Amino acid sequence: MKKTVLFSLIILALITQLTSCSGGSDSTTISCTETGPYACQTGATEPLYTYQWALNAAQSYFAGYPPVADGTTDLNVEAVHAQGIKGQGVNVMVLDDGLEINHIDLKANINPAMTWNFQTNTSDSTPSGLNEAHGTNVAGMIAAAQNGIGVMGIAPRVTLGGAKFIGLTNGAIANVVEAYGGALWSKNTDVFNASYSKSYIVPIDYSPTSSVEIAAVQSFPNLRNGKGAVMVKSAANDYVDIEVKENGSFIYAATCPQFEYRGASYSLVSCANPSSDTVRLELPMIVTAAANAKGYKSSYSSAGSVVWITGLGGELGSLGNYGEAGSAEKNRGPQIYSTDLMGCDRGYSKYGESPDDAAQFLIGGSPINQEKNSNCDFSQMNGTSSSAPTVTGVVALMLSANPNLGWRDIRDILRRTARQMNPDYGNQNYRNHQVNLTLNPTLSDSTSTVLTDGATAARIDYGWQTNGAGNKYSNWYGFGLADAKAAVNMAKAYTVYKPTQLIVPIFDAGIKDSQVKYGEVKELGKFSVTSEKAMDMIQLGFQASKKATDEANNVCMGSVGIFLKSPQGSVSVLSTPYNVFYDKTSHAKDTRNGGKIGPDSIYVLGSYAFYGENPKGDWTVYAVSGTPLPTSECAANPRLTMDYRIYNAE
Amino acid sequence: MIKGLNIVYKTLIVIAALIGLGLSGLTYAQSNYELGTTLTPAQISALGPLKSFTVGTTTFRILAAGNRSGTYVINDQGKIGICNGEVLISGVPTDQAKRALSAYQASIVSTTVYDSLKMVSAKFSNLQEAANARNELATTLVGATLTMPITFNLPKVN
Repeated sequence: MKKTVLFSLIILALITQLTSCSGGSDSTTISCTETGPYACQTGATEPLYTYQWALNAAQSYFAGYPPVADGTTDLNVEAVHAQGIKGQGVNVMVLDDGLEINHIDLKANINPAMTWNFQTNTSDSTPSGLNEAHGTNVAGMIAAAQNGIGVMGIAPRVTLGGAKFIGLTNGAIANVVEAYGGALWSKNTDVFNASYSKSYIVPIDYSPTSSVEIAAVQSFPNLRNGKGAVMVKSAANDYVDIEVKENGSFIYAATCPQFEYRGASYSLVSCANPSSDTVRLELPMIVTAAANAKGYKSSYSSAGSVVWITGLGGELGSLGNYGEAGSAEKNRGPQIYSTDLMGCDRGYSKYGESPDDAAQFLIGGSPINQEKNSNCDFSQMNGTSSSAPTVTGVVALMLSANPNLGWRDIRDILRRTARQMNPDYGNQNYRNHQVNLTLNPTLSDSTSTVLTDGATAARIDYGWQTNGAGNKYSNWYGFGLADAKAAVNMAKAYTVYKPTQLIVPIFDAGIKDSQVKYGEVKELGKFSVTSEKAMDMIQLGFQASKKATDEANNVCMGSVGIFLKSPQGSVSVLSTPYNVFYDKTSHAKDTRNGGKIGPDSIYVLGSYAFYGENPKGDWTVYAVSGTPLPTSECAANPRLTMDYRIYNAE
Repeated sequence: MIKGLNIVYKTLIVIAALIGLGLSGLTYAQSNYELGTTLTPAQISALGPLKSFTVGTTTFRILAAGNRSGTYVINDQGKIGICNGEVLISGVPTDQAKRALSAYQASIVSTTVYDSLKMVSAKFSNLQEAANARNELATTLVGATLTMPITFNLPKVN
């Protein structure tokens, strides 16, 4: 009898324990083996957790402010944390403008053998600049510890490394190979975070023979003893314009044309295409867009067909006490709370900030700051710089749940578990209207998606599309918003691993000497593919055709949108007309000339929109071309030659 | 006489000013090279004959200046980059890469093996020899990816 009672008590205790570890609204009971003072607990143990809407939107402070937050958009991480999966055993490397190694909310997770400073050539990655807080913010989003202090990262028990890699002075240039896994301090990295990029206002030549970054990323599959590492990379914040700077100072904004319709103007194109930084064409790069707390693309987030996934980055302006003021429609709303350079004399939260530019939480000495952030050790930051680490955190949770995942598996799981967001955006704000391809572009009343040779108007945004393999894709969101719970569950159940070798295909001849017609839709031609292997990315490489005479043949790619139709009928917009190469301001240093490419350079675009499709058959390439500015002096009747290559989905 | 001297004097001043302007333009170009900016044809002409090297099918001209990270170069469009004469080999076993590099031992300053990435880096004593080695190895080292890094733009945080 006593034994029976004792047995019953043990069973009851076990059931109680299991129930306490079930995650939030999750109806299933999941065991938790985590130990320690915060075992199996969510970030609710942290004092600033209520502002971390990306981790728990429903319970966050901002859920009470519908104009800036919908109370549902988050990364679905609480159920994972409640399982005790918090990044244990995973090495994350933050390559950025530095990482404060003694930060009170980071140091518990920092491995001193995984830090480096390319400015000082020492292992202390702490930046010297008072405003170099970017990397410390990025790191906290991933890895701030669960300790009852400040905020909590998405993977609060991850092993953190970091480097002073960006913003070097006195002619120093970081050794990319060392940073990307070649050095002792970086070689054990499982996932890199790259919240940085190169922005271009003129097309650049695709030149893998001289790009150390491309060479290093193509070698990522060798890391992790052959399982391969990934790099989560920001898509950039250049949707509206590119801020051109010299020596860190703002010079001018490289803008793009607006589209007039019934007396108002609309911004229909992403000014910059993420593929302009050509390292984003590499498969181990997980290119990440940003969404805000309303579940909508952040106003600044660059869009394009190499975006893989969306993370959470918040909005442009965060005002009020914590970021609750204004509305998302006006590009206001909360950002991502994180760790800041410690002290009120440096970082993003500090003395002297203006309430016109910053929430009270960030203003050193303000009543809110004194109450919640008196040492200014925490702040909030927006941008795809913030959305990338939210995805890096999710990847760390996946690898913690299943360390055997290879780099392709990581991409695959993120893609398959991503949630479609904002499904009707392609029909909103006149995005579904055709654009008249005129000098001062306007919108027409037509919403037809048909591409007609010779037409002077065309749709330039197709919104979400379902491709021939049944995959939903959008240039704004990639495959959708990352979902930690779904990704971790799939990672745990994953047993059939993909090959990790990366085979870089050579370019095949596609279309030769096809004439572009500015102001018109022009079918450039077709190319035929015989392979039936399910595809990953397709890349198109363009050159201006050489002419037999000395006549100039440059093609103004600022005017030329490249649209590609697969044999299964899916259409992807690889570049839009009227992009950042097109425009020109009156600023003396605005050197844009229409985005000319000549016969000696290669302009490469890529697309994931056809992921999983059988590529066999005829592909059709369209040039949807606006009318160049007269000042661009674009050659008349230019011709393009195009090659292509297709990466297989292994 | 005085008037004539005045004309000569004024002419000399104008010539000196023109030379000064020209030199200042040249000096500007040499002392203010910024990665990613593009030199005009006039600025390039002012630099006189420039040595060059070819990587694959792309030719780069060498500017007579540099910093701690390497030597400034310009591409076909006049865009300024920086190169330190390094050749990276990837895509083949590192032992194979090292053996292939042994043929260039006399020109190599240092070699670094990155086992984790399966890459080998060789730094050459000058850019032309690095480019020659890179181009030869690209044809003889089957399966390898040969890179001669040139940096034209530095990343910025997003």
